[in-house]
Amino acid sequence: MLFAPPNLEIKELFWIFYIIILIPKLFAKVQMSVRELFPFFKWGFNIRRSNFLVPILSNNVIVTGEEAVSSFEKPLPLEDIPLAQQAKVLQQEQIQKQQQIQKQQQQQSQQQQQQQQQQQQQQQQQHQNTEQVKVRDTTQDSQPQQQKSKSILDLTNEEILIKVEKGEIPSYRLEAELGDCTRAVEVRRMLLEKNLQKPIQPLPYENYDFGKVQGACCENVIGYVPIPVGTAGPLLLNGTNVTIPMATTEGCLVASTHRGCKAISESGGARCQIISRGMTRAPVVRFSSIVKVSEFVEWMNQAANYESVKQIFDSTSRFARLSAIKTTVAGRSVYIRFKCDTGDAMGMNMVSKGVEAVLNFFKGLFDDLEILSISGNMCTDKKPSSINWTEGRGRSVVCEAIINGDIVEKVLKTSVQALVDLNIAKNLIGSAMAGSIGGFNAHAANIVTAIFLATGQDCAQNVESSNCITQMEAFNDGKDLYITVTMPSIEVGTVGGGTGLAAQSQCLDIIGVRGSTPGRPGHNADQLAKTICAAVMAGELSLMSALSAGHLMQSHLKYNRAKPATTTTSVVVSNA
Amino acid sequence: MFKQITTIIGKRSIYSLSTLSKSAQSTGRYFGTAATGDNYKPPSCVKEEPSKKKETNVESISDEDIIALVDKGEIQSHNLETRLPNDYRRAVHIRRKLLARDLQREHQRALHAAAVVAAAEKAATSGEDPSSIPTVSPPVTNLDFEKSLINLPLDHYDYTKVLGACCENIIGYIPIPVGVAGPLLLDGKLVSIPMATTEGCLVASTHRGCKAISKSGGAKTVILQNGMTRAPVCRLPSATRAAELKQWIETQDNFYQIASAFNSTSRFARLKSIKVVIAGRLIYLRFKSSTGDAMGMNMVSKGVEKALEVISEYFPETEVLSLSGNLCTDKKPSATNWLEGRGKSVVAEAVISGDIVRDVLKTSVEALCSLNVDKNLIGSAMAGSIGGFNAHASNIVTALYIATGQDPAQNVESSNCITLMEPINNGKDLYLSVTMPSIEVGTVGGGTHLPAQSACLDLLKIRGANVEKPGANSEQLARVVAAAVMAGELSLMSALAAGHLVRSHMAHNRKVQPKQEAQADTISMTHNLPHSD
Repeated sequence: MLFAPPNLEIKELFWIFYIIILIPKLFAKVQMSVRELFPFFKWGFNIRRSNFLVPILSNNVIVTGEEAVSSFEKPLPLEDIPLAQQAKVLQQEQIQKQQQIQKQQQQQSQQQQQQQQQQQQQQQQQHQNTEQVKVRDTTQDSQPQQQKSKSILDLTNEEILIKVEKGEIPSYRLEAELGDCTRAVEVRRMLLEKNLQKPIQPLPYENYDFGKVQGACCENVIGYVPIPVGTAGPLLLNGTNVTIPMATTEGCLVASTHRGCKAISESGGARCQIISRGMTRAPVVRFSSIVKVSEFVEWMNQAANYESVKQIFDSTSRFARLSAIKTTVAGRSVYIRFKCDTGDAMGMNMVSKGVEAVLNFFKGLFDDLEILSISGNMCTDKKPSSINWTEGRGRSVVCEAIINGDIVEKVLKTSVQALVDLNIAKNLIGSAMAGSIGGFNAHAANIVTAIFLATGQDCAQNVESSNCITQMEAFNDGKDLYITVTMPSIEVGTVGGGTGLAAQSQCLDIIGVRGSTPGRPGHNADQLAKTICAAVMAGELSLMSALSAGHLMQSHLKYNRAKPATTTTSVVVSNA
Repeated sequence: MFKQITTIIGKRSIYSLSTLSKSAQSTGRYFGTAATGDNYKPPSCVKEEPSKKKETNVESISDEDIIALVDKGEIQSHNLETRLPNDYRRAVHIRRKLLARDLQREHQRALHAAAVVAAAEKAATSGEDPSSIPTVSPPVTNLDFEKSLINLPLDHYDYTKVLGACCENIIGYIPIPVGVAGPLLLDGKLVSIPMATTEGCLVASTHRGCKAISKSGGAKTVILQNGMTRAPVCRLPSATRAAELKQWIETQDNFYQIASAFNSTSRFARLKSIKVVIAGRLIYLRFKSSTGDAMGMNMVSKGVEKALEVISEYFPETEVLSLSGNLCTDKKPSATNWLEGRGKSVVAEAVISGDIVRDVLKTSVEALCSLNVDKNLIGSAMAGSIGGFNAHASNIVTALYIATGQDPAQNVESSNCITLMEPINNGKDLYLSVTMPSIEVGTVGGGTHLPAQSACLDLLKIRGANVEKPGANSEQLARVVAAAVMAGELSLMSALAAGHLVRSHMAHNRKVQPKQEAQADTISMTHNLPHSD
């Protein structure tokens, strides 16, 4: 053995020898006896036990528990090049083997289909047309599944568990193998409990449709986390009443927002406008020199070229409409920020698709253009940045309301002047001193996150979606309060992502923006963005009043003036 | 025997009597107020204290009657739980009914209004006499909110733990699927990471990263500092007075005095520093304190109140404008957290062997390093980012936060992260590190005590408070967050780099590897996160 490492046992040498002889035979499709295929059958040879083969095979297998630890002590034979090559050869051979088996299966299934069709042709003469369609559907669907999973489906959960532990079925492939998502979750939980030696009973999994999650929302699923949902409102927004569902585990948040909603609704409601909309994606490309970069930028600045780029971009989707391109140069790297209207979807995937098409187009035009990454962090997705604050991302929304002075005193238990002062001291000066970008608010992130969770948005996007500036002014000679909230980068969608799940889409239904309205692309997502902005305004109003009421009370006590109004309504002071 | 039976019967009769009297009293009050006015009191109610009158439970009444009471204003919708103290599920159920009814009404009203407007417009355009317009009957819809509200789950949930602590006005709960990534070899121990997300491929991608790190010898983490902050804003008569206060606080003896007052409020709170920032005559005091295993916002707030009392003894003209002056900075992006840290500051590092980069991550060390410079360093710098020098830290932080019952709104600053990559061992291997200065986590309080969330903490073996070493559990959670972020960063960056590799291979007419090509296709389809396996 040329490639044999020194620690090989005799058994393993046999095994290698066996593979080397067997595989060419398989390729040649020579007929072989069972005894030839399994010469070591009686020995009970176990692949997993082999010291030599484990490192190679475990590359494609999840190694769990103590085995994983022991494999770290013996790391991969990195230096041994012939061995690594041998491993590659083995892998390729295995792939080819699988392909051959698949081909054979396909041939078999084709033959079966032909047989079925023949049978059906016979049946056609006997039965009516409608019945045959049903028969064909059922036979075609059910037969291959039965063939594949006959062995697995008949097993009990415990037996499957043993198979998973042995590594015959990878844990993450359970759904595909079993065809029953809930059962796959059960098996995976058993596996996890065994590894942890602790029950994970409190994490629920029953009464949930994991079919919708599979392949779209989460992998390696072991259950779900329930988060309580409360409603705030109704809030009078642009003349209609909106009830706001919020999922949170922070106490008083819903109650506080509810108080804000009440104050706004009783003062005549909030008005809300969308300023701009467009999801962005900024790939990074590199040229050979800055001369080429300047050529590229010049090319981009011409209107005719923009039109041709737009045509290519728009052709990738029914809803994607390119609205702007912004190029930023850093040395010989160029960051191209595409902005595009995406209908009712949040639209990251849509934009990425369009950007890929455009980049391929660029590639044909500029020889030395090198695409480094489809995302160059100028987008900027899920990272704090000033570009989202100044240029906007998703939907830019402004909301305003005039709060009656009486309501400020009765509902919010504070005064207009105290609110205005606190807003300047806290939200403007305080955030400026903290070096904030887009954080000129009291607790916008709280409300944005709660609504995002309830309506199945991407919660990680609250980093930039909660960019917000809160402004307050005294109005009508200081009697009333004018409050406005500006949020330049709310990223929401009513289609795709987590919005398809049953509970989440129900929460969208409560707001009245489930799915998309035919004939008005983007309308529902607009409405959702407006609702979030208005809810943030309600939350800001309520928390700011609670904080200033605390201050008022202190100053009242200090200066011995009239007794302060007691703040009985709930107050979020804890987290702000 | 007989005695027992009689006592049982006796108890039952007493019970039924009491329930009867209660129902009688509530219904009586309900009709009574309508009939005779506010001061009416049913005879059975006289003995009770007037303040307790509102707290009587209404469990014996049917759902419809309770809804009628809510309409009447006798019970407030958000107070249903206090009136049904033994059956919170029913309170939630009734609130859902109310909500569905209100939504239905609002929907009908809007439809009707639209129909009326349409009829009026039609009349106006056709030139008819406005008085001749026939009255529009409200249109019928097939939307039934009560039926469709079933989709929002209600049953199989313990509402007692939620009430008064986590949520108000509850109408159900949102289930978010949980997957596990890993096990990840972290500081010599294997950790399975629970992640709650609805973003496809996120768990799979993190899993791949975990595999790569674990196979190369695991990740190591360090906690640089630990302290939750709160910055009240105070106003003084003049800027000179504010400067005097600053000097006074920065004197060591005075600091000790404030610290002892601060520490007296809790067993775990230990004041570490006060940072004073002055803007005109406003003064912002950023208190920083260790908080044991809790995330600690409430603990620090309590301490700050006490400390402000001490300060106002020496500076009586201090006017506390607000307990939070945005310099904390909680749930807002800011440079303060990035520079000074908040919560736990963690660094995680790992060395990934070159073979694993090639075999598991399907890319090369060189491609990863240059992409990291171009994307995470230059790209974020050009975007004017503060603390956003990473690929998708926020994704992993949020998924872990939701699963373990942290406050997901805090991911704004908790996902501050800089990812660094460099080649070592003559360019053969990859040195990877993530630095996260402001991870705000706790294993006590907030949403962590809910059963499902604490089960996820149990997966990490850090449920509740650490008895032997207070604060060790939350520190371990912070370490897990940082290490998981590192795994996620590694996997996504290699997916992006692999896509680039394929293109450059094709462009330069080199060998095209079929496996990598397939992966590049998935990148374009799936939000930048590849199917890892």
